[in-house]
Amino acid sequence: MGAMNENKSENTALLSLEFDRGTILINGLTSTTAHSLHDLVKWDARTNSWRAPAAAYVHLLSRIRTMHGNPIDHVRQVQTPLAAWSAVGLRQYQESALLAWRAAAGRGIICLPTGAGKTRIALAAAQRSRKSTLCLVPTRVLLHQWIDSIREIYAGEIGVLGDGQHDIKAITVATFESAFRNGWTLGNRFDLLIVDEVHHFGDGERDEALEACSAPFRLGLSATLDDGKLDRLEQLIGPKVFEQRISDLVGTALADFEVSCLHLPLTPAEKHSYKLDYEVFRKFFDVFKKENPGGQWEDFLRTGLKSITGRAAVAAHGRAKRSLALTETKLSMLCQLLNRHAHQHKLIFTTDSATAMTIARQLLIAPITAEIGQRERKSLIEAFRLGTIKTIVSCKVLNEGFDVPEAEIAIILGGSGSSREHIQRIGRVLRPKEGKKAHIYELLAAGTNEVMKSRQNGNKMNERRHEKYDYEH
Amino acid sequence: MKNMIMNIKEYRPQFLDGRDEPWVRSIIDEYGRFEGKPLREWHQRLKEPLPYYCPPAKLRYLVKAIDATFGTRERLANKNIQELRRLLFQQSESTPWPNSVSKISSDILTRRKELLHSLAHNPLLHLLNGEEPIDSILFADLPSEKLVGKLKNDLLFHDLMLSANTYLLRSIIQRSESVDIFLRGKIRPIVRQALLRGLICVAKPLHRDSEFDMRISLSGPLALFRHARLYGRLLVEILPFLPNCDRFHLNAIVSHGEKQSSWIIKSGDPIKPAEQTTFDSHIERRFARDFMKVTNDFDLIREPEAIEAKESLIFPDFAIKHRTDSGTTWLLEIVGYWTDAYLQKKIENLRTANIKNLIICVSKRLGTTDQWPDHAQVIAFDRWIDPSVVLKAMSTSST
Repeated sequence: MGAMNENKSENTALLSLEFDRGTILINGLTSTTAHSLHDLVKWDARTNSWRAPAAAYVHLLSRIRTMHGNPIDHVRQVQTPLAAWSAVGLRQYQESALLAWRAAAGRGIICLPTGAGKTRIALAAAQRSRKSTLCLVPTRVLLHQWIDSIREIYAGEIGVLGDGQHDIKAITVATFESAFRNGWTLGNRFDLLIVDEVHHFGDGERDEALEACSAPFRLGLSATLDDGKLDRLEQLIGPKVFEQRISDLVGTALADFEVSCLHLPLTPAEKHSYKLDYEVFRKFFDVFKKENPGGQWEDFLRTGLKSITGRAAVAAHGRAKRSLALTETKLSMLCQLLNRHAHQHKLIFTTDSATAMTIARQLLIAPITAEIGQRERKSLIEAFRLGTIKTIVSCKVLNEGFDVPEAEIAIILGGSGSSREHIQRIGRVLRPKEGKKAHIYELLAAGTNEVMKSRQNGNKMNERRHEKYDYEH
Repeated sequence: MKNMIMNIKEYRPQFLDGRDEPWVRSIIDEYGRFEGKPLREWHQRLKEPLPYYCPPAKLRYLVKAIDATFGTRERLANKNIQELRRLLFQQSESTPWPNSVSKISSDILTRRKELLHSLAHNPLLHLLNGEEPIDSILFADLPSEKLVGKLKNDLLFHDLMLSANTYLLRSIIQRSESVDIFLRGKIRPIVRQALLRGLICVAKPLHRDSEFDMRISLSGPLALFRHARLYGRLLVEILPFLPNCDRFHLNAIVSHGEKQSSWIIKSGDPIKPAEQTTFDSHIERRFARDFMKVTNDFDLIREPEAIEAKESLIFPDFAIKHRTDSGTTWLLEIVGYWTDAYLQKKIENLRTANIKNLIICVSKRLGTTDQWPDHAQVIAFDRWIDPSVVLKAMSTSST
């Protein structure tokens, strides 16, 4: 036993770990030891050194400790949060979620519907662990929203990475894009990594942002996680440790809601032009499908852009889609709904930014699109919260993370058709408030594929839906 | 130049050239028709069928080049317009929306007109622009409302094509995970730029009979584990320095999921060159200027040839050559602000290289060390390097 200990200390004296641009350099590793760590480390012939991705740090350290005792560890350059945190109170299911995460050694994903307080759980995790924390968020809107939420309970300075700012502090919030660009230089500065809307990772696109970070503790948050990504996300963050669906929380942690699908007819002129455009598209699309049975939409676009007829088909598809975005009857119904719910907070969701801007221009409704700058966006959201503005129109910007419990009416004029987008949008009006019953209106162009897509999404969510066809205008 | 990696398909970029001129000219004409109109209208037009067949990828790069070359005009950038908008939205909330179905569009227009009219005497409006009606400036500060710029009469077709081709090359390199470059002449700026950006740069001298002096491989640390795209943006920044070399042959490895492809870019390809960089730092620039002033006997050479040191190469900052005595040359290396690890490596390399007539100027901020090569003259400097001290060190070294 004594000899074994002696051997351990002899080895560890030689072993050291160092952070190098998103990776860990392992100095003094013998080839025998490297062999036993083969699943984590690789020989880098470019620099003549053993290297592991920074994300493997916690596993690497634990394995080296087991085999050799403590190595000299230069990896972490973290700064402990010095300022005081206020306590974060949680509901029962939120406490359970946090407990599950802690039981999984502080690595895992919590899946809760929008409005169920995921951010609050994450803040509680940061507050209770007192660790330097990097929070990653997908958009600039969420960046500022997270900063505001942290400011409410953390007395110190908050670092910001993104939206033109580059300031690192013990508690830092970063956009995915900025983390992707800068992660490899600051990946060793944090002990806890929180990833909001974690479903954006796991398909390789920006995974490097997570791989370049050595944080031993990781918490992913999502309302709409694809099971297909779970394996990859388990490597990057941890396993799914807690899940609840909308139906589990409606009426308690989430507002009760109702969905009305309004099937609105096209005018004869709209029908005619839609039919013409759709036929041009369909003709080319059918040929494409015949020639490429397994072809995806992206393949179709690529093929289409290569010829004049293909280009015309792609353009016709775009026109057909745009023509459904805001039909005359949709516009008319929108006005009626705005009048009916004049005193309630309303969110209008559109197919694209152009339609959102058309509505903003014509009906003089506040738009929140990617083009609206941060200052104006903040001021509009504040006015919405206070009730001086009661209607906001948006395309995608508000799909994720818009946190205003006052919002109770969602009017969906169109969208990508994906169930994720549908869930995210509905979630915007489900944040609980006393006596609140949210109402979601889906305005569908009758006799088009909008109806089919809407039904598919509704079925996935087990919605209580009211389909209404005969409208008296 | 054979691809070093087996089973990877090789491609050459399809550059825009003289054969593309007819459709390129038609796009330029089309652009002219949108002068002064919002940029979004021009971009919307491009989605519709065009008079000529335009290869989609080439068209994309051409449009980028056109937008960048002719620019756009900001219509208005005034925070008062945002305030005005907010007032209008608030007012709109308290005005009922039209309920009619048959004449919904005209009713909406009327409502809009009335609301805009109610703001006609608002002092904010007069602070903005008295000329244009509120209707047209309401969203004029948004990026998509920027106006299409004016076509320049002295437009050089060749410049536009070069710009488009540079965008094309950038898009290839941006997607690449590593590049191999075979180089002849002016290698140092490439290596320097790569190192400055934190890339791993492996340089290997080639045989004297080879048409190139050196092969350098650029990649990032994570590239060891995955098809990392993290470094593409950094690799792109190296691209403009290539045309300054005497000759180059670049092989970019691009991954598409699990598959990889290899893209070949070589001397003569249309790349917009970087402006000739001169110095890495203010210290170097100042030293060069001061040195020229204090002596007429010596020439200061920027970026001398690389020197081999065990498994790597050393690129000294300057060579100092006597004007008449060609055999007398000193190499000068400036060690400024670096990390401990980098410093240790530098010392090790310089010791291994065993360079004669070596002068090392070390920033006092780095502290003292006795590890520098014994034969080197070490000069500590505070903020700037005093050239007379360097000359004195050279004379000591000669004696």
